[in-house]
Amino acid sequence: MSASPNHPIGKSVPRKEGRKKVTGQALYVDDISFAEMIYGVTVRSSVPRGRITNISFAGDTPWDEFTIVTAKDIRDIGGENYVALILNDQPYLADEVVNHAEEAIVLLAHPNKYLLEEARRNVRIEYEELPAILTLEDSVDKKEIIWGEDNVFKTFLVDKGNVDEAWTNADLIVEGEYFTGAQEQLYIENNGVIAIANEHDGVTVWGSMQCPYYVHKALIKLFALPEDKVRVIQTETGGGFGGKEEYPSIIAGHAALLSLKCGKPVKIIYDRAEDMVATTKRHPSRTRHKTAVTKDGKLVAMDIEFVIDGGAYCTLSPVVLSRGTIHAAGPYFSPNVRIRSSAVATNIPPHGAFRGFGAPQGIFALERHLDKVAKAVGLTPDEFRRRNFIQQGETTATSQIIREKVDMAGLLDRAFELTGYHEKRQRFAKENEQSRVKKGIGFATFMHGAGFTGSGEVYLASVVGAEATSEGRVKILAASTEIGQGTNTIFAQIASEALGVDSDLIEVAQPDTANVPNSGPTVASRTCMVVGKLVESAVLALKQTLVGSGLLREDYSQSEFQEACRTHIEKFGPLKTFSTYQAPPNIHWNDEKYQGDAYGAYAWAVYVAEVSVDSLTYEAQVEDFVALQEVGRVINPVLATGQIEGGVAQGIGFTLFENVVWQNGRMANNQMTNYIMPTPADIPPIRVYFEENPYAYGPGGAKGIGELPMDGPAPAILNAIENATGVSFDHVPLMPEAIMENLTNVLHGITL
Amino acid sequence: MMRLPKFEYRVPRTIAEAVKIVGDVGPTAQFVAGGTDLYPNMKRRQQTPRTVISVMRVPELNQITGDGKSGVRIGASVTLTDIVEHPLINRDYPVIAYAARTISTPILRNMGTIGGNLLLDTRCNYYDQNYEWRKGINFCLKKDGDVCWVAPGSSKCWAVQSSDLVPVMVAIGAKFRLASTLGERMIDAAGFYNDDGIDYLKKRPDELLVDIHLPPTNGWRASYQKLRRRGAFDFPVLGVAAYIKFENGRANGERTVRDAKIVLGGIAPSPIQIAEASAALIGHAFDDEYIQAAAEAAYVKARPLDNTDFVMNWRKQMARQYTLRALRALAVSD
Amino acid sequence: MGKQKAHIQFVLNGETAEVAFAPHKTLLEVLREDLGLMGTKHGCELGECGTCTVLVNGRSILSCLMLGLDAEGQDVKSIEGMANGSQLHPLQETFADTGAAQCGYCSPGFLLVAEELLKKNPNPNRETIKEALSGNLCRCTGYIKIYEAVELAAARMRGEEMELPRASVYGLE
Repeated sequence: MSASPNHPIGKSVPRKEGRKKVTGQALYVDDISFAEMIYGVTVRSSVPRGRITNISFAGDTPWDEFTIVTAKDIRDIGGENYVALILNDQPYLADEVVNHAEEAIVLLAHPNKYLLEEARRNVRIEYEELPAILTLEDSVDKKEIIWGEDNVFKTFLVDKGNVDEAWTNADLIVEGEYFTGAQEQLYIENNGVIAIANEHDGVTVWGSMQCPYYVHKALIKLFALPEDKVRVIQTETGGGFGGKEEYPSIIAGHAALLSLKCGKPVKIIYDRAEDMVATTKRHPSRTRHKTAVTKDGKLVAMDIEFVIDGGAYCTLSPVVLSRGTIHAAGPYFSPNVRIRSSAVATNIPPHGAFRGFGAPQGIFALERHLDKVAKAVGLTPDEFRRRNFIQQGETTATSQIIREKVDMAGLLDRAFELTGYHEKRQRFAKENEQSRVKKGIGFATFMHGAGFTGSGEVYLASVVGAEATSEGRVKILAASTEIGQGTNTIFAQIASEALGVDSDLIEVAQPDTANVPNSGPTVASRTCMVVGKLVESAVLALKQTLVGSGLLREDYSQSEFQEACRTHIEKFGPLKTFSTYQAPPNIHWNDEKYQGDAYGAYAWAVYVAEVSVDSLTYEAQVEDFVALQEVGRVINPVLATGQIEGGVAQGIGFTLFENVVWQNGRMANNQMTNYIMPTPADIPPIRVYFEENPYAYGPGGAKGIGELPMDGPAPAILNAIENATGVSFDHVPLMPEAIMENLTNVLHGITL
Repeated sequence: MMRLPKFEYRVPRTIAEAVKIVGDVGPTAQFVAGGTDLYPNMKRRQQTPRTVISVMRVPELNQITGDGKSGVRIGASVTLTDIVEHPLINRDYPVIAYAARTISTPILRNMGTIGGNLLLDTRCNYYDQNYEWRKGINFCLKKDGDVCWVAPGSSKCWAVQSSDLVPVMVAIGAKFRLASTLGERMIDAAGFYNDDGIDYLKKRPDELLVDIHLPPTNGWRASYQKLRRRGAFDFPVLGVAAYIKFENGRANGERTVRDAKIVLGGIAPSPIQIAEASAALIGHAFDDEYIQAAAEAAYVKARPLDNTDFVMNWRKQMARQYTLRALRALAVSD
Repeated sequence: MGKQKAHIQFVLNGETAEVAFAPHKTLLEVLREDLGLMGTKHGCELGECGTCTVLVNGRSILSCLMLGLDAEGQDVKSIEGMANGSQLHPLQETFADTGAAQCGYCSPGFLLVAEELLKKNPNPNRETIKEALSGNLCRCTGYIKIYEAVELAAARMRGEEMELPRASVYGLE
């Protein structure tokens, strides 16, 4: 195709914005200022549920200098007081009632940050408290109806075969119940937005975010404005992990409401305590498994009940539930599968997107449960899985036929080889008899679907543009954000490979709804596989235009390409091409029955954890971690490895460190000293390996990768802890306290 | 946005000047050294002094003098990093260097001082929160409220002594020199801390901690064990300092323990000396039977409250294990 | 008192600087708000994350817990002063190119602490690096690529050849 030697796919091209980031030149939202800009803060509820009876502005604060916004201001501008997303049940500002602690009620703005903070302390809000639901269990039991008619945001039913009839064919039925806790995303850059709003120009916001078009959609409703009067620009973003998927819509609305009222640019930057206490976290979950197997270890039926705690408003819970539901049965073939799932309401701040999006919860339960089933059947965890791994041509829980090549058993072999699994299983069993520190090794096998679930991508109909510049460069126009994961770099690599020109020649436009088309949200491991494919087709269309106009021959050099761009623009004006998502062939999804091709492609993985558990202090530590995965073609090994290492570290945090302490519906450990993410002193070696099996419909053969590493660590580590101690634990985070409670009886008698 | 409240800042150059300022201003003044404890508290409005007096530029407070033979004096403003890296401290008082090294992080040790660590404000889940969070629970007894949420019936505040160096200083019998406009006084570390989360120090607000006097190293040995979740950052939720001294000579080839102390930190408003542990060890050979008995005594006496990270029963259990570790560390380093 | 400004002189990134600011401000606030140097980031403002680290007289300190007033007469280095003109510090090069910077928000803090480490110890092993960096939190990388970048930069500064971290070839060649 091209004479140029440029084949950057598969090479570790340096991060495009790397230099800016290491010199302090990268501008995050709090680094940006506008003339006349003032600052905003949010006054929040202190009770989990109640009626607001009075708001007063007290103290020695000069209130007449302050811009004050309440729900009434939204009525006054004719806007809709809800955050447009799925069910539109979450108000921008609580009006009369509050449904969770830390719900926004009043907004304040002032030029002086010091006075502003003092003023927030002087706003008094009184409530008539109402009975609240603070746990998933109480919500399921309907101790109080706090949302709709039954506390349920959404349910799904996946029904394959006939589970009820299958029980009779089973030799053995094994049941289990598993729990996961909330987890804070803890991006190091807190949430923040700057807004400029006025009647004439509409609303413009700059902010730290993953999904500019989500914010765009929400602001259109809030301000009752036409699309072209709202503009959203992503600034350099200091991490997201899902935490900046839906929440920035709220902050953007707040800043814009203040700006509209005071007529000046308004910046709202959360401090850490506020960001942790008020914004979304991973959904806590409860999963119940009832599994039927034959005596030779073949799965007959899987009956799964999966419940997640959505918090006080619906937000993204249905979508999180969807992914969690579909992943709950894993990479195994079972003729009969029933998954009943629900997202329920509680009076705690809404839970939201977090890397993995429901999948880590369900996969944790499944991979723990299968170790239990294996034991019951008398097989080793690996042998039991080998007998049930899904094979090419077999069907998943949603009856999706796996058409691509899949070799879970091969991955397992390689992972065991890399870790010395069998040798260690034996050696540890012997050594543990004599030693205070018990060692163990365990693994999890799993798959993760890339892109939106089911028909999600079809509904989204994402668009990517490519624009030639008169310097002969190509600019990628997409709303997909760089949040540290490498969007800019891989887009440039994909475009460069497709065009056969240097990746330096490719620019990636700043996501700005005024300048880039809606390529969909930066979530669901879709940026590389789905949007990347659109980048590829958009630039190929650009090339085709040049060839079609006779300015470029098929076999061109880089300088010929640049020359052709220049000439084309001179002759015909701006040169832009767009590409719109089209589903790969033979993808069918039934939204009603939740059956069909849930995802275009899956990544497949085996993660192995080696742990030590101190039988006197009950502290569990990960000593070594191997992450082996098949993610199609790896576009940039350094970036891909970085995604896996970072995700595994977050997974280790989820498993052994990060415990959200709730107190009357409020996070009690909302600081970095007591909500503890791992420090450099706490992370073991993480060894990352890829198998390559190019995916026909991904750019250069790539599939999704970002969420995958979140799925494996929790079950692999707890399986290893069971191997070390003989005790099976059913929940994460697993703190030493819980290990102590369960271990004292088992290990007593051992002194050292 | 965590802004410091407004205050007047004074930077005296001598001890006399420092104590005069605090004497003149009165109780609304507060000394600061590294600022790593006071400034976060001020940002969260737990402490709101009107005048802040830095003691970092008083040369006398920045010195380490003496040696193991005669005892060592450490100025209160010496940074924790300087202690961790100091050759003499490492040689003659390794337990001090070790305990200091477990404090927080390298960067915070570059800023924090020994004096600041010994005077560290007591800590609690309900108190170490920002203003908005505390307002949501109507504050607590230690600041702006009238209930201790750890023990709602209690008239006393149960915030926890959370310094790594305090138990060590108590165990080895260090003394602190305090200065005020009324003169100087020496006070034993053991008698310096009150079992009250609010009034946790014997130091009057007008007194300046000048230096710490470490006793001569005439045969005693000491160790420290810290319990925390992470390898860095975390305050101790249990710290065990162990100290022993043997009789001269040996009886039946064994050395007899002449003096022993076990001091627990991180579980109560003050460091807790376990007299029963000392009793279990003194007069006996330093062997595992008596070590176990001492650890059992520490376990019985440790009554952590539910006001830090970690479940209290676990911390109580760990008092036994960490005492064992601390004592065994002394046995092996013969 | 509110309107009174403090005025200090100090060395900032190798040059004399003068600045006036409200006296209760931290060095972090002075750098960002009064000197317009936005490279120093903030993650918690309470000394719990290491993000706002700068070097004062060569030692890493948290600018969120140091008063601007205390910078008087001191030698302060922020990320803006790490490169020598357009010549990046070897640590900056390896952080940018080998995956140590993902979202980049914690990078300035890590870089300055790493610089302090390599001044003290030009050939640190992995454990030493871990301990030296244990006061800085990163949520993106899992730290592995940060250690590798420090090791590679240290080798280059010693004039030694070092293979790029294995990450660039894992499972692929």
